[in-house]
Amino acid sequence: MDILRTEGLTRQYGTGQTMVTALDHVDLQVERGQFVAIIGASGSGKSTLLHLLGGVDRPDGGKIFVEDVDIATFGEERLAQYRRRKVGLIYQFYNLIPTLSVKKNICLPMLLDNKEPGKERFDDIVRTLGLGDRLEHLPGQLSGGQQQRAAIGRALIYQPAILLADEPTGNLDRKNTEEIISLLKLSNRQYKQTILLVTHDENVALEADRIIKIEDGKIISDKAVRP
Amino acid sequence: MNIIREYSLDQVRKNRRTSVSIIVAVLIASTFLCTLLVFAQSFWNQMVQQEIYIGGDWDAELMDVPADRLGMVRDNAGVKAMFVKGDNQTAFLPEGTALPRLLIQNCDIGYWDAMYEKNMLLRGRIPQAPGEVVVSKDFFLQNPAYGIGDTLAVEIGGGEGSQQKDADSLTIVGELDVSVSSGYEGYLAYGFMEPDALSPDSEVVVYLQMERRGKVYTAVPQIAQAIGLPKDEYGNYPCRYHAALLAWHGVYAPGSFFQSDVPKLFLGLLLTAGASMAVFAYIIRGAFGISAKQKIHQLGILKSVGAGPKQIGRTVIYEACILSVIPILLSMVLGYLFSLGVLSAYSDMTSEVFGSRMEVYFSPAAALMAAVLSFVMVLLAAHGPAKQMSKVLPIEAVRGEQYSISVKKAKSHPVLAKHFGFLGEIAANSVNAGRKLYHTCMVTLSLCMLLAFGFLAVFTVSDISNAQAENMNHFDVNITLGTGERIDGALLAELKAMSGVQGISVYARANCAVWLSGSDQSAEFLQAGGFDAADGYIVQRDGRYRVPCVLVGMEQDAYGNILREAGVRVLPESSAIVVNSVAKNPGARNYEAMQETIPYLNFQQGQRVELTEKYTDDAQGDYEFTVDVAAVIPSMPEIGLDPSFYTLPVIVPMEEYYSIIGNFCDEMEVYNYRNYVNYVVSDGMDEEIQGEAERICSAYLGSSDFMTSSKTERMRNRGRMTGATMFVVCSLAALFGIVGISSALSAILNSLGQRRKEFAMLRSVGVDEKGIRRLLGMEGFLLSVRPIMIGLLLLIIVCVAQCYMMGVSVVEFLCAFPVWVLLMYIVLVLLVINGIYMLASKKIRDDVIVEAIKDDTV
Repeated sequence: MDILRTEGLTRQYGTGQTMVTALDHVDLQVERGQFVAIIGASGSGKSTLLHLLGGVDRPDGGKIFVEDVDIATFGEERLAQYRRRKVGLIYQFYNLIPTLSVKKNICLPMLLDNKEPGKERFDDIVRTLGLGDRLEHLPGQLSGGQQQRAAIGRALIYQPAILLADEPTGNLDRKNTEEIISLLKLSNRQYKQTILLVTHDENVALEADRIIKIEDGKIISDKAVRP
Repeated sequence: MNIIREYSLDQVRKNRRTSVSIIVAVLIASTFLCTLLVFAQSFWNQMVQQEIYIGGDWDAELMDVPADRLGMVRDNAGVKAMFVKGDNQTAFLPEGTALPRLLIQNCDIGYWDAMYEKNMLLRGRIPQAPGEVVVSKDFFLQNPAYGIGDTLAVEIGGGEGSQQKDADSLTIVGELDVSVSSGYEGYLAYGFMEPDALSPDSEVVVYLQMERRGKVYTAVPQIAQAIGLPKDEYGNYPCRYHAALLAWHGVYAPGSFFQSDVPKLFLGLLLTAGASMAVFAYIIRGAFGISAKQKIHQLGILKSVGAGPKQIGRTVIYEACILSVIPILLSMVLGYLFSLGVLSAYSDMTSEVFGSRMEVYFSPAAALMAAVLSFVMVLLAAHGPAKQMSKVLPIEAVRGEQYSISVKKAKSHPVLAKHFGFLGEIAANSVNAGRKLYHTCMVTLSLCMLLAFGFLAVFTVSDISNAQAENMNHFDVNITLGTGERIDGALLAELKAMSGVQGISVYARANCAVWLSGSDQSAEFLQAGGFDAADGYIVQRDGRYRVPCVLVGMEQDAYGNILREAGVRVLPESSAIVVNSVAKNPGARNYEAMQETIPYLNFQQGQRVELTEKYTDDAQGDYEFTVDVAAVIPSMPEIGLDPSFYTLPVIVPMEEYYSIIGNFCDEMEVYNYRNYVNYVVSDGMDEEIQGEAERICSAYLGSSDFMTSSKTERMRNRGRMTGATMFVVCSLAALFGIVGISSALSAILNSLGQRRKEFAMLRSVGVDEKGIRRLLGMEGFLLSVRPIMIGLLLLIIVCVAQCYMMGVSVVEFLCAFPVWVLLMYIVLVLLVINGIYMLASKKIRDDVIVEAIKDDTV
């Protein structure tokens, strides 16, 4: 069953002669619980695709169905709610709020909803991420790997159906890269979350169930790595 | 705490630089608003106090009230307080005094407390018990044997017509700066009365303070009706209102709202406050904008993890609220202190002109209003950036690309490129690219320049125009005498006999009107547009035109001279001279062009003209009188009277003038008794003659009954007023300047912060510190040149418009305008902006190149 589907998804930047088509009528289906890697050269449109799926960018054409609802038609408030509750977005450079503690950064999507996470779930995530002794620290006091784990925690806290990771290991060393990929796989297995992972690293991509290759804004290959 | 509030508070704490910039902008803006309100309230208070000082603290006056009805007035629910004056007495003085009697007006304790007579006390105290009197200063002048504390054995005569005299004694307790015409053969005095002790049939004047001032115009006639006062021939009760004081309290007689100056002043204040709020909201908006843009990346993160547009907007609003509380509270103190300093200095400069100092007044209600207005202004300022931030796409915000400084289209700068190489081009393009960022600082510095020098230009043009008008003024010393009755002949004789005077004119004037038909217009006037072109001055009704006239009374000898000059040898018994001239170019701006005249009407010698006291529809009296035209002369004799456009001067002998105005309604009769005396004196003597005239007038009149001025005094006062007003304007402009510099500092720091990578890159390809300094110096210069150019352009428009409207030539203006002050301002702006650049660029110059070049956004 498809949790995510796009039809003719198009995104262009600039105007006139400087117009660039970042995504060109992309059709894509992703089943619930799949771990999908998206690869491609710089400027191929893979991050743009992820940002559109995450509701942080707006398409110029096409539809994005998440659980059969077209999020491209959402107004700003509903789209914000979608970003809070339905997807978790992980960036290459962590993008934590530097003035909030690690704990509050992790809980941020729920706090924005004026909610507190259940203690059991919060403890479970923190334990899994290995951040138990860093919760009151500020992001600036953490290593890159720890910051990325906090960003993953933030993406997981609302138990979203979809996790979107944009080069999450691009700024990390080999050891931290392996740990982050393990965490994502664990999350995929443990919480049955659908994961879309944008990466340059073929080794990282090979950890996924399916690899989609994008070039010039179009999907040029879509292969299942494992059933 | 709500996470958005917590985030906003954290941001305020962490981003001290932008927080300080916002605090400074809010502080100055709130201080400005607070100052404006302190100025307004102090001015209002000054006007109210001045009105009370010269006219008394009362709302309405009931005349001819029988003493037995006073209780009914006092007990009326609408009356807050009642004061009584009346029970007038004539006290016949003992033998040996210069004049035989005292003309005593008795007042109760409330009257002495509330009314203005106590302010005229020169020595001693006011009466506090029956039998005590204060007497006019001429009593002591003419009877030097008497002093304060002396008891006079007098015979008291009753009211009008009464022959009975009772022996009594009066104790003099004070000296009042008042006078009465020598025609009364007595001295004015004020005594004390107990209203309860009045005989029931005596009539008094009652002054009322109302519980609800706003109802005074309906409540007082009802009181008059209730106590049985009769109406006059116009259907009005014998009551009068303190209209000037009531107007300052926002209370107007029906139909007179738009004629009063107070609503116009209030509207002016509202517009000034509104405009100031809008300008400062715009300035503060720039500071909030910079702050919001600085954290755009974080707002993008918040958005990307699900913060809604309203929550994002709220981060800016919360920041505004947090940052505005302390500066708004502080601005109450600063605004008061600033106003105190400015108004004290203003008073020092103008107290000699106005004769009083302006006290600074700031009530808690005004403080609250200033705080509310400031807070509204802050919210208005924050609203724009809040809306802008809430709309931005999360990914664009995370990348910070929407607000990064980038050049979309490079412009060529051949002059800069030629003299400063590629660094010159970079500087020009950077200033161009960051123009949105520098908008606020440019607008503020331009406004500062426009405000200060625009006013200076207005004053300069006004000074030139005044000097021109003063040069055309034939007379050097002007005296106005107004006692409400015919001026004492002895005083006029003494003034006319004064030595050192080369020429003199004495006249009195009264407004009136004549109804004419279209055929009465002269051919020349018709050609120039006639009555129909004088809309607003001449009223047309049923095919007839109401032409405004000024009835001028001149002493018989002067009147005779004019007639003789007009060729009339035998003086008619009842006659008038008509000045048949009208401005040829009433719309002209140039003073000389405005003086050009043409024949006005077809009046002929021997014609009988019917005039009316009712010169406007609102004029109360409607007395009509006729004059026989003895002569028609082509221009106004040089007596110091310059009639307004389309006003027809009708000159009559003084005796006839008095007999005419004696039939005018009471209020206008009293007003029209004023006499004007003008002197021509030799150069440099005007102030001496003015002083001598003042001495003579003081001997006959109370100080409030005459006024003197001279060319030298007027010139000095104009200089003082201009200096004082410029001081206030420059003080306010300085506040704009501080905000401008603060916003320039913030914008420059922000711009350089955003361009760290660019400077690191330049350094990485070999641009040394000197080159960076040169580049920044150029940027500073280009940045300061823009507000200077914009300000100059606006200033030129203001100056040209002013010169055009006032008929002043550009050469005259440039000779009088202090161009060096403008040049100093320009140099100061250049120095300050470049100084900021040099200070702000230290971090850029100290950056480690590789760290600055690193890019880590998404």
